[in-house]
Amino acid sequence: MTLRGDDKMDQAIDTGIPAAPPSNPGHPSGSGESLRRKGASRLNKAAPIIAVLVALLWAAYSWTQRSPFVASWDEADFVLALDRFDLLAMQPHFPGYPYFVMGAMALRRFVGDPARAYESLNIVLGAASVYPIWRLARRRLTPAWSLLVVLLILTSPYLWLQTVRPMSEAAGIAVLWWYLWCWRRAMERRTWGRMTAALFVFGLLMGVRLSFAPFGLGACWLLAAAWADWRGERRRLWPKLVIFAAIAAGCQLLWVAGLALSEGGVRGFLQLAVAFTEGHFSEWGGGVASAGDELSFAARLLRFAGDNVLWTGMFARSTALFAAAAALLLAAVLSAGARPRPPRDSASAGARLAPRAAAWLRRSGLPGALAALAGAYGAWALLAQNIDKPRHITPLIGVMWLLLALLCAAAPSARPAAPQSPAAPGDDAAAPQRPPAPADPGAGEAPPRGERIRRALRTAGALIAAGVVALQAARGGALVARQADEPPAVYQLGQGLRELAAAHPDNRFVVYTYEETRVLDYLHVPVSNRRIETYDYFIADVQADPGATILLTDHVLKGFEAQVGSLAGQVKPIAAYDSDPLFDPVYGHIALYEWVGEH
Amino acid sequence: MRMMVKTAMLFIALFLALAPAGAWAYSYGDANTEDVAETFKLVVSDLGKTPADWTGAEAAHKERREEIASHFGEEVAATLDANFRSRDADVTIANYKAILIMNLDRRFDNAIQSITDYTQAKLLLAKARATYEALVPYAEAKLSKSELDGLSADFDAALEAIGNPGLFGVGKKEADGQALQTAVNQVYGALKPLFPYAPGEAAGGAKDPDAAVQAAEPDTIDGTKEHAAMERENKTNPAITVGVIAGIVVIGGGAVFWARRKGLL
Repeated sequence: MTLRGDDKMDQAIDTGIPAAPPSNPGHPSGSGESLRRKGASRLNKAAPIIAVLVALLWAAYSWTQRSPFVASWDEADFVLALDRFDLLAMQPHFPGYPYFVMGAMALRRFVGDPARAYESLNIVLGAASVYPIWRLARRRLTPAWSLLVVLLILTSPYLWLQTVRPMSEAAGIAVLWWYLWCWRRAMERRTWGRMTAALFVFGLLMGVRLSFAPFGLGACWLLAAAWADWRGERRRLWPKLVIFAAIAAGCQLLWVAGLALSEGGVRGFLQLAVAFTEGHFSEWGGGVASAGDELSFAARLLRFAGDNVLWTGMFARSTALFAAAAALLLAAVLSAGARPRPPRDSASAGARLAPRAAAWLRRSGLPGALAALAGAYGAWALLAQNIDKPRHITPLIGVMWLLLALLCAAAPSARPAAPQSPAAPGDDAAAPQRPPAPADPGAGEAPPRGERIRRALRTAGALIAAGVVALQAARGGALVARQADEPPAVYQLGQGLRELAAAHPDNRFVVYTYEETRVLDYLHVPVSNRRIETYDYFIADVQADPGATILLTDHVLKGFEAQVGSLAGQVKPIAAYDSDPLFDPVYGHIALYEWVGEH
Repeated sequence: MRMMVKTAMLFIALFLALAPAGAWAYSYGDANTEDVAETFKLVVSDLGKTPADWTGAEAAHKERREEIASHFGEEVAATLDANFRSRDADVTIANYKAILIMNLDRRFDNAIQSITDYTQAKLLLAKARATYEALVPYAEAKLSKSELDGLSADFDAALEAIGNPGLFGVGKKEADGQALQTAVNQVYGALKPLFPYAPGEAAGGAKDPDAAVQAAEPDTIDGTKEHAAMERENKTNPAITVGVIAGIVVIGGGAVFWARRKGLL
């Protein structure tokens, strides 16, 4: 309410000043505020150079903080794949990630260490993704704000942590930015060249990380929009549809064929795919499962949105970052609220839903389109991915920062009928990419109301965003350094077992584990270790070798207790290993027990 | 309109909140499992209980009996039946371990025969390895750590020996039949004496038990054995699959064409 009042007052004061940004795109305005403009335009001019420098700096720092550890089952899978690519032996695990492994194979020639080869690839791709992020942001933001978006995304601590681990998330996200940019270009002008580029990059994305498939909704969307165009042309539809489908399929076939050949042919690949997917739901035999499986949907949703996406993903469990981001959100909401109301609202409320939806699908704005794709991925990550591993939500982090910046400072096209134009009137770099302007009945006439307060809110938003960047850089920089320095709990377990075996050379130790076994094998820990899930079989195993000292980890024990009730009397705790659960979400705490059996 | 959307969303939310979320979580299974070894695990688990669960063990064994009879001979299957009937856990388990040895022979022998078929050879080696893993707890009491590490290295050598098509041609390697034969015989030769087979006395009236055992469990593997058809592994005929897909495409295309001619589309 108060805002409205301020608006009015602002308007009164502002009346002497020509309408500032949107009405006259592409035309450098020579207004009375030249001094302030000059400072802003200087910053705007320097922004691209700063962005490049920042990307290089970020890459250089990340390069020095590459983690030497192979801390999880999945990471061991990737690292082993560099020596021998073998899907059946789960190196890497299904579905293969062929482009990612290829890239690391190439980089390994220069880097040597397999884990660091993957991390180097992540860093190179991450730094290069600044370009598509910039181009996307520049569609609606000033260069200065685009720079802020780039910084927000690059320094985002959880993303940064993923970059310097031998996992495919960070590489996938980097390619995702290229895809989103290409897709947006194709949506804006649906030429064959642009559509092919989008589909090709989508093929790359799938070959790097298949679990980002929900973003393929964008390709379907593109097809729907193109279909609508083609229908308008009154020519034959089918050939075009076939060509589109052929391009889309061809781009996917590239990596699928590569995978199939790596398995010796299509038949073998299919056989393998069936074998892998058969085990989907039965692997753990009901005895044990991801902790998330016991959650009801509501609890799962809460954990997903609250813990995985926000607390861990966006804020890396830092209260200061949380507070700063909340302030930015507030500024963004206020700024969006202070924007001139689209006059269309009341007039079009009565219009039919279907045509409006169709029109939106064909001419959606950037924020809406990004939110739709991110929403699709979010739903998939919530429902189908392992909720114990927050890394699955990482693609959402960057998109959310971009959306927040758009909310805060996008050129005022909350009025959907107005042509989309960059906020800075002095800049016309983005003009060529501007989407075809829909008919705009009298967009220029309405004088901007409350321009001053909007400007104040934008400035406040920019300052807060800069503060968030600073906090993120401090927190993220410290976290990646620590991740590269602190041995994960599994490594500590391996070291503990080594020492135990060395101290008792006459004893025969057998340690029962879950997924830790993969890392222990990778580290060549000189103690027999076995993965086990079923309690009855464990007992039979123990009887098989009565002379051995039986050890088991807390994950195994918990699984057994879910099957047969408390076993507290039959085990004796002997050691516990801890690392930061931010780095090792599932195996950040490992307790080692000795099995003493029934007395 | 808005009312309807809201109601629909409420229903969806309710449905999602009530449905068991776990059913959606997915993970990739492990193709590296061997049915005979899994059955062995079930049998020893059931017989290891106090008191031994003979019904469970026999049920698990029945599932696998046909496979055992067709690959290792009716005599072996009959012996196991007799073991189960006599309710002697030690002998039953010992013979089941011997069956795992026979299974090693079967998988190794097949792998040598299919060395030109990379996928098949690799799958067979993986199944052999799964069989071996089931025996490891028992072998650990009898072999030293370094000997076991050697066996593990032999498996790796066997995997190297079948070659590798590489990823997009990177890491391509040719197959080496001789190396494969050497590697698998080292594993087999080390394990076979540890888990001897005890033929049943009058099991099913076999004429020559020793010959039957020798057939199921030879001293060395040379990849010349006649094997029972692998009916379990080739359930789909690719020609038929391709034919069916092509048929559907043709019929569907024809339907679309017809519909367009009639002006329905």
